[in-house]
Amino acid sequence: MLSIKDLHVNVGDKQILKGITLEVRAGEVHAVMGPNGSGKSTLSQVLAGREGYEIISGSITFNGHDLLALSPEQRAREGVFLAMQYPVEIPGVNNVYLLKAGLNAIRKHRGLAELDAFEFLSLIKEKMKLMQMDESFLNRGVNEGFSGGEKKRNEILQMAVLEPMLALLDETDSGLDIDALRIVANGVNSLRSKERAIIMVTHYQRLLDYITPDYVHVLAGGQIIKSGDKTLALELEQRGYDWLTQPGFQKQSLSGARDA
Amino acid sequence: MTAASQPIAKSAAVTRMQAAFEHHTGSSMPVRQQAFALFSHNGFPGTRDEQWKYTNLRRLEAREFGTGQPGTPYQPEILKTADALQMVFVDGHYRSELSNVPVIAGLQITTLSELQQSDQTRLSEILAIPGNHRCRFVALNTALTEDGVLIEAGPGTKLDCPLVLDFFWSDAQWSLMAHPRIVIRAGEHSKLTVIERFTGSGTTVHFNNGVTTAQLAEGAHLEHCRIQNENSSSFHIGLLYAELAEQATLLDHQINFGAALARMDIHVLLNGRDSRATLNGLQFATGTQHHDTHLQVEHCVPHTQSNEDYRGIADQRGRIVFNGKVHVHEKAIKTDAQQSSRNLLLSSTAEIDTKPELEIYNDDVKCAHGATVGQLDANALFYLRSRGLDESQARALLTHAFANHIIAQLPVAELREQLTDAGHVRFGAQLESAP
Ligand SMILES: Nc1ncnc2c1ncn2[C@@H]1O[C@H](COP(=O)(O)OP(=O)(O)OP(=O)(O)O)[C@@H](O)[C@H]1O
Ligand SMILES: [Mg+2]
Repeated sequence: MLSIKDLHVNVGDKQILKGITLEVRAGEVHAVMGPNGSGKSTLSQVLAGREGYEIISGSITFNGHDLLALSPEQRAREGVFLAMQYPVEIPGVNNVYLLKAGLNAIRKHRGLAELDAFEFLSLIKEKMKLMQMDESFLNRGVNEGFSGGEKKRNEILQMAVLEPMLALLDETDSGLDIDALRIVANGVNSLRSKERAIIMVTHYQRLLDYITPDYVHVLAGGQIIKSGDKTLALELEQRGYDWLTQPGFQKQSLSGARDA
Repeated sequence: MTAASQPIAKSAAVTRMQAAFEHHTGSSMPVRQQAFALFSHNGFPGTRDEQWKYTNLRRLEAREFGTGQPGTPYQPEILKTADALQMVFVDGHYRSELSNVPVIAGLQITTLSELQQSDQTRLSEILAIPGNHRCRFVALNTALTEDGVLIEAGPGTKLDCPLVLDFFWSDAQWSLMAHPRIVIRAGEHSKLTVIERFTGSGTTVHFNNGVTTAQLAEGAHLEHCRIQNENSSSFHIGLLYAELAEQATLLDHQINFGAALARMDIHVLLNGRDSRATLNGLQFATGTQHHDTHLQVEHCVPHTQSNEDYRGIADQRGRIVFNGKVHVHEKAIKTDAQQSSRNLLLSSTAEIDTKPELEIYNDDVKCAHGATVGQLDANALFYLRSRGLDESQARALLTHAFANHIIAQLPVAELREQLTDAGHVRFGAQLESAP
């Protein structure tokens, strides 16, 4: 589904991603972990089409499309969704309006009939129940005055409504209380299917207790320095990242991890 | 002899106004004669006048405008406003058969055309140029006004429904001018809402030169709106002049959407202790539109409050001018004056000039002002697009959100909806309304 090959990305003169290669197939869940500032959000933003990043070399294909050639909205319509680490507050743009406009743009692109107000409302109510969100959130400005945790929950609500093929979750678990974490994990798991793939950036094992990943990758210094299965995350929890970044440590390729 | 006192050669534009004045039914009234003399002596303001520095009236002066006739057979499409008193004017003339003005205790409504017929003494009194206003367009309005309305709310009268004054142009193919005059007298502790709405159509170039004066007695509350949606070829000039007595409150909303060139002057005198003026405005200029608002708020006595919240949006080759002047007189201690001018520049060929001005003549005040000119937030744009919205739709939504801060404060739901619809068209995308 998603194939990233030797991706090098700069911001200004600064090299941030230094050769990322990653293969994600339908049905898989990948966890990306790694120290602060290692490039995890940069990778997510580049995948979603954020401007301001210079692609030095490498390629990204998504379901046969050259993803880098698509605008953010085209990517969204092809099924890419990014739950952002820092969701933006947009006062004056109604939450429910955004959801309806987004969903209908995506449906139209896929050749499906647009939902009318009534159909949309019943859909959104069902999804809000899943996310245990109060309906009063609907008529507020996008993320306007939402608490940190409410913003994250709102991201997953949007994901649940838009039903992407590839969901990128950038630290969606950060700032969530224990109950909210369970609700968010529940929302993500309900989307999990054979056709879909999920890449989730996280710092903590506890999210992975709820959403079991097929693969775990360590991103450090702009490179994936180790890949493994879910046990790698447990090991990281025990040992931190230092042992991986020691000199002499052999960079392991993803295919190596798969072969293991 | 100094240069200033030399007679100025009359421009063709002034000569044309002279002809209009000579044909006017009220041209024998001294108040109108004095006003016309004042106008013809000074002529139209030029850009050397500091107040008109950014607004060039050449195109207005170059044009000839006729005067509309009462009773032109024209049925405008009137947006009915639930529970509102509605007065309709076509080409500057009141049309009773299109209006809805039920009798309400404590409220007296008299048209100026009626007064011209029946009580010229009264008319002269209300036409006196407010506060010796130097603006030449006020003089022109005073000389040439054909119709308008005197609204008197008696002491304690509280109006639940707004009074909507609807101004239309007929489908005449030639250019017309109108000089409507609105006079509001809000008695002690009265409360009323007056909405002036100017709706254009077609492409004929018209010229509206309106003057609204309001006197708010002790404890009176006036909410006033002016929705300017003339066609984008027309000229629209207007003044709101308000005097507030003790504890009076004025809440004013100015919306400039239409016209090729629109200039509004808002002049508020806080004359009574604890009087308060809240002045909101939105200007949106696109194409080659030019919108200019000049505010002047005078804090004349201790313990008065003013709050200005203006927003401007300029797209394409649009031009926005905002000048907000707060003048705190020497004895006006404990003045609280807040001013904000926020602007969105949507294209590299658009232009915005904003200038907040504070003139303070005592130390015991709380004054703040801020002016910003910025672009749409890149983070917000990306966020919306990443949810599937087109770039144009995302831009339109954010622009609308910026404007809606002012629109949402308007007093009548129909008005807000009308402007939201008009806004959506103008903001460049047809957005469906929210479910
Ligand atoms: N626009 C930018 N300008 C300059 N530096 C940037 C910019 N964006 C990212 N960086 C830098 O790139 C590096 C990677 O940032 P990124 O946000 O991708 O890290 P991260 O792995 O998501 O970290 P965290 O775990 O703290 O969220 C950081 O050093 C950051 O300062
Ligand atoms: Mg990050």
